[in-house]
Amino acid sequence: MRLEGRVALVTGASHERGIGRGIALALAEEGADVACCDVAFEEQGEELVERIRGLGRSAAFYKADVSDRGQVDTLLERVQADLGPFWIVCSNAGVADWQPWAEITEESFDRIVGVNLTGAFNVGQAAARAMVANGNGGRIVFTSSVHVRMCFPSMAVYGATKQGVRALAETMAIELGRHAITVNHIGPGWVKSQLNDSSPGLRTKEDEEATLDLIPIRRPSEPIEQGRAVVYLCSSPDGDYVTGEYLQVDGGFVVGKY
Amino acid sequence: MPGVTTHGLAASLDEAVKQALVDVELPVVVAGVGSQSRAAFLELDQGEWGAAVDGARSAFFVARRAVASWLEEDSGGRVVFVVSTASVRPVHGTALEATVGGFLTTIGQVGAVELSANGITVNTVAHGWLEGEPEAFADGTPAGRLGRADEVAGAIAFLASPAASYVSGALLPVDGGFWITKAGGGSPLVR
Repeated sequence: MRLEGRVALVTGASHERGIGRGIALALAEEGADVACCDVAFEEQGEELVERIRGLGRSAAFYKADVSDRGQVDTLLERVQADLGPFWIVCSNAGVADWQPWAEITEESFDRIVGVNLTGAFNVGQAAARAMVANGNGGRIVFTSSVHVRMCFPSMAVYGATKQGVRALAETMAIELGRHAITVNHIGPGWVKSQLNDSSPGLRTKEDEEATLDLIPIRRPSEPIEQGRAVVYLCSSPDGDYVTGEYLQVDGGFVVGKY
Repeated sequence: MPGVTTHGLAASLDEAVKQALVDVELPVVVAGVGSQSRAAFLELDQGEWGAAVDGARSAFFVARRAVASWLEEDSGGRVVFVVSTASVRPVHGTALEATVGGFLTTIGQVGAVELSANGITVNTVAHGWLEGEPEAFADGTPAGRLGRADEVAGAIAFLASPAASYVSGALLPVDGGFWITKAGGGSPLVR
């Protein structure tokens, strides 16, 4: 149990096939108490909380929209009041659209940037301020993406928000190191999450087979595998000296595609 | 009709770009993003964040609207995004320019993937610390001095020229070598 006694918050945690759930469960399996936040999928969120409690850990579900700073500040206050000072914050909530570059709409742009980029800033800054006030250091982990290393057509805004998160995480790592706060990001490849349900490149069995051909390990990632990478970054002493880093958990997708 | 549209550039850079691009053969958009705020990350306020994101938003949509018309006319064209070297190598106090610069770089690279077959290239210039920035940045820059606007404009002019017809999706730092190493000195942005 590498995270016993730690309190963690995970955003975008609820959906039964989502990466956030894998992160929440992996943290709980290593002994952390987990606040599970999502803007939707409340029933699945409550079910996740029950599973975490079944592991003998404390857990609670919180509904909040990370693109709204007021909601984020309230969320963090409530989590600390309910579960105690958090030491781990995983900014994972994300949305995607597929649109040709020259046809990207302002509505889609604003939605993706609001959740993926402004949401990351809101959660990252509010968490960092609280960790500094707590005076005990901490861990911040963003879910970025293989888009940080590789371009995917029709996903310009999504990919751009992830590159923005990469740069944000690096700047945060530089500035927060003296507070013993590490800031890293993980790069999932293909996960069969709800986010990918509307992917035009994954509509048929043949599409999936073609995608598997690009992945040396020849299968999609389970959400829990993303969570285990987060556990490593959040463990102490294992992760104490790792900051500003990008941990790609993609089955070799990026190296295989080149 | 070829023409040059500039957007979101600092005044001195905007002027230098217009001078350097007088003879373009294709329509060109040069759209930049950055932030005047050098606040520490913990002290950034919502307004500063919002302004930086709005800057990236308008830079993108200026380019995206131009590209839509180039596709319709089958004219080809060149997009050059302009970001700060902090987006490649962040330092203290650069959270905003690093983030929006990274954002714009990747949105441009995906554009390059989608548009290059239509004769439209999309590239990004990452400028270094230019004259007007704290002189102490010169100590951290291998070139040992701050950069000039015309040096950045020259790279943009190259990317807009026929010589760069096969350059698409590139990220060209014009920063005196800052992004590959820190030559010396502390960041003047540390508080």
